[in-house]
Amino acid sequence: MIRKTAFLITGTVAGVVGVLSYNPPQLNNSIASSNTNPVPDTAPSPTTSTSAEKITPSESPAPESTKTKAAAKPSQSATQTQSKSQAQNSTQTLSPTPVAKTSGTFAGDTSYTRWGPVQVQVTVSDGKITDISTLQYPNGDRRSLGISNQVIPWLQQEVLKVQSANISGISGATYTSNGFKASLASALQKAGL
Amino acid sequence: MKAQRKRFIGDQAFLITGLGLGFTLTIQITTLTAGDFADPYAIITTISRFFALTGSYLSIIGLLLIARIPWIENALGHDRLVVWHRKAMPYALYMITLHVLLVGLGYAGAEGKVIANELWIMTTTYPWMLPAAAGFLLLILAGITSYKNVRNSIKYETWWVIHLYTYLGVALSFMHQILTGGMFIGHPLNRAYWIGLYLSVVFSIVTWRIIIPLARSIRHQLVISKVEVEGPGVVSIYVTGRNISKLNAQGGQFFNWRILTKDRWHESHPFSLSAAPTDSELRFTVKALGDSTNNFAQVKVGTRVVIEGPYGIFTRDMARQFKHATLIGGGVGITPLRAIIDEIPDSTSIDVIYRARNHDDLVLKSELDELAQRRNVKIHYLVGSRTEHPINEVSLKKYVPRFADSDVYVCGPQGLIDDVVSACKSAGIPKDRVHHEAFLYHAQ
Repeated sequence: MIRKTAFLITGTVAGVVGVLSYNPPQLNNSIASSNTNPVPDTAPSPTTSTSAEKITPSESPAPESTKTKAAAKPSQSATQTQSKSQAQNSTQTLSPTPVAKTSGTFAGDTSYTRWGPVQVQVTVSDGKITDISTLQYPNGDRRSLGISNQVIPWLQQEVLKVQSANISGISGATYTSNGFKASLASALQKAGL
Repeated sequence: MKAQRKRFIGDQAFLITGLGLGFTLTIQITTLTAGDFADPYAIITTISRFFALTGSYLSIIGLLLIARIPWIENALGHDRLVVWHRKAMPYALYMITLHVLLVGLGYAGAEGKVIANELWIMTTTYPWMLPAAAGFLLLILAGITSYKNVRNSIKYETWWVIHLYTYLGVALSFMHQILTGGMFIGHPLNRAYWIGLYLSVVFSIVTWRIIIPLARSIRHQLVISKVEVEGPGVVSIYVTGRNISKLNAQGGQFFNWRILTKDRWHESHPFSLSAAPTDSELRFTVKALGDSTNNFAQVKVGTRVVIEGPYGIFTRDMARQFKHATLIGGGVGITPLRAIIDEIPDSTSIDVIYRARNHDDLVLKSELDELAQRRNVKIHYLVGSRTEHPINEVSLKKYVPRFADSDVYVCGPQGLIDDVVSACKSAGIPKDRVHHEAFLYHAQ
């Protein structure tokens, strides 16, 4: 029995060491950067010259504290920190006055779900949704983040395809899907679509 | 299979089990993030996931132990696998229970809810959580009915059916792991490993517990040919069929038998061969133990039977030298020994020590007496209680002068086996010449 236990433990140690030497734990990395960030680049739009995430913070009346926050949490991506500041100021109107009725970037209202806030931003060009990004999404814990990582790119693609808030939700991510749709609907309303 | 090869395969099995445990642990280790330790409740949730993973892994190993995988059966012996299965599964259940409680506590704490409320919300809102909860209840039910005191007070058949539901329980809990487990979402390799693990269990069970037994039963067309009453509550059943020698059964092995009558087909009974198989016939001898063993005497000749097996490595092949053989049987544990006698070469002298509570319990006595006349076999009947006939080095050497020189086979209750094993140790008989099979599990 001692011999068998020795084999068992040898196997366990070999398994752990083997995997870890190939794929070390990423404990110190932030949640967002340890995974591929789902927010940007899902549907790069040829018509928008500036990416949506960059437009919003520069136009939103974000307080100076945003920068210090971002500095304090260097691991977090700028997008996330800045969008958090937006959440704090969500009572203010974040979307800029559209230049034309059918063109511009519109942030939807933040929709608070059971797992966290969801906020989307759409870029509209000539009445067409050309880009969509998600400024906030449930990421408070690994599970939420994991689900967000999976479903948000999918939802974004759906919007670009369907060109409305009339997208089907994803089972297993009901809350996030509904929050996404609600925020999207308000963004489209602002855009007058 | 040679003893050395058996040992090698046994070692490999343990190594691979360890390797799998290592991989299972790394699934969590490599996906840990700072957020998993952000606050006490996050830590509780992290610990809960550890219990979920290791508990599930242990339950998978527990299922593989009884999946009748031929190499493992041959290398480690069926009775040991069953014993390990019984030892491992309670811990798997404890760990899974801890997972349920801790994940409830962790989430409830993080959201400031009552744990029961949180568990309810999780069960009703997360994907595949309702099936997982149902599966968990099935596992708990199997755990409770397997607990010794409960087990002894319910019918074997009832226990068996409830036990079957554990497969369903494990299957039902699978999807919630894959779909909500943070270590699987967005980690395709982890997911592939985990799915592979579960598929290997499904494959093993379907192949070796369902397809092969069914194919064998169909191929060999086994039918009951004779039923003989041996004594009070003891019946010998003869089974004939096609190409029985191709079953490669040996004396000392057992089959799980399923007798295809209206009221019995759903029951499976592990019974040992009580004679070496011939080309056309198998014989097993049964003592009334379960509920329906009682009336085997009424089973009609011509009834079809379905088998699983042969199982067990309690065979003459295990013997090292055969200068002399000492066979020690307790109660109905004599039956596989009786079959082994058939396969021991005539030139080897044999001592049989047969302990039974009273004279009526001496199964197959007339047959043994006949053997004693025909060949070099000496039978020692020890009738009475354990205290009347203690089994130790001194008593065994008294009955068997060549005890220290012999290959020892013992089959019976665990107490008897323990006594014989320690007697052999003090007599200086090396371990690989002592062969034992606990008969306990046959009765359960």
